[in-house]
Amino acid sequence: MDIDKISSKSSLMTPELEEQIKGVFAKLENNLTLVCVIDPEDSTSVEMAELVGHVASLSDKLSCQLYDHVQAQEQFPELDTSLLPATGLYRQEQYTGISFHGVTGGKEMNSLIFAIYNASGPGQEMEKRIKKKLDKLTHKNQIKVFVSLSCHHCAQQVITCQKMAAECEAIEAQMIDARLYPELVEKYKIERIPMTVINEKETLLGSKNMDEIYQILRTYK
Amino acid sequence: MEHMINKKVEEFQVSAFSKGEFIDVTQQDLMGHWSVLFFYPADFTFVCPTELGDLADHYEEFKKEGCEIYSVSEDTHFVHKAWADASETIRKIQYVMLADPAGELARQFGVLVEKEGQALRGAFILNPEGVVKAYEIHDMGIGRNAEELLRKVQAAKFVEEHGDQVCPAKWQPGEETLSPSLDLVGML
Repeated sequence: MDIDKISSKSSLMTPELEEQIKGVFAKLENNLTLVCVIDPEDSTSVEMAELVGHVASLSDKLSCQLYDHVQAQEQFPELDTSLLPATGLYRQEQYTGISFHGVTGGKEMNSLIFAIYNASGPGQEMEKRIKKKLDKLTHKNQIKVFVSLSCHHCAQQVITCQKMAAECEAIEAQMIDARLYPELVEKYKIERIPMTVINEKETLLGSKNMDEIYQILRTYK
Repeated sequence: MEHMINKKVEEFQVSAFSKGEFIDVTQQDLMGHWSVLFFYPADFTFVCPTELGDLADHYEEFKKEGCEIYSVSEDTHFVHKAWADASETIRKIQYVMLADPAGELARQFGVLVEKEGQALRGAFILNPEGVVKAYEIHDMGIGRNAEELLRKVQAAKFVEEHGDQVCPAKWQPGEETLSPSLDLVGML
């Protein structure tokens, strides 16, 4: 499929959902670009491209850019384009550390809307003591949250980790729909979700709070 | 009829047969580790040795999970010994065989058939505080599966350790993307 012909109307979006999202987006403060890297021949990629385009059209603070994965690998080295579709959030052309791998359907629509809200501002409130702790992190931390679209706890965990990424340059947080990447399910032995993998070493099961996640991040210097 | 979930084991004291010896077992012995109370109708019957043998074959796996097994019937500990002497299947059992001729335990767990003086096939999983977290009760003729019971013990342990904040990961190939729903907006 020609990437320029991909619609910015998603069949996953309903008028009720649009209204709910517009209510949140009315508060957005800063411009944000949603970079969506896809394989135009893959239907899941096209589905996400349409959804991201549709979401971006609901606020003048947002723009959507679609890229073919072949060209995007060099252009966006910070985005893991081996897991398609890959959608990264950029603020003033800077990667926020927040990305989505898969289609943000089901409960993961919450994650996408919260990530936009947190990256654009004003964002959810964060306790000052947590912010102080995060500011001390120097090691570049990579958090992968494996999810299922029907899992309520997964969205909570993605929102928490991506909020931390929005507030701290030393953290990157990916949402990964495990259903689409069986090789990762095998690699990380995923039987329950949400499963969070930190720096390829530590594994957390279930939805955790920022303190619990920070306790692991602080061990990396 | 009231269910048994989250009920704590009440005081009891019974005799038991364990690895060739007679011992006493109380509710205190069930504390500090996971336990399975495995009721069966009577010694010297046909379905029972199959079930108890199946359980004996999986005993090490239960131990690895930190779970002790206690079989229970309404026979005396002397009958348990006689059965072990007579049956190779029963002789290999390493777990404790409780004797409940007065029906104290079977009554407490609601599996005693008073008229027959026998227990239904009930298996109760208790946490280290002696609280029932899962159970199954079968009619006399329906056998149980040790592997299935082991999976339930593992699941009960998992939930106790991780709370209910996780979902089982079951994906079907070719599943369609779920329609999006926003239900956390109130958190903003």
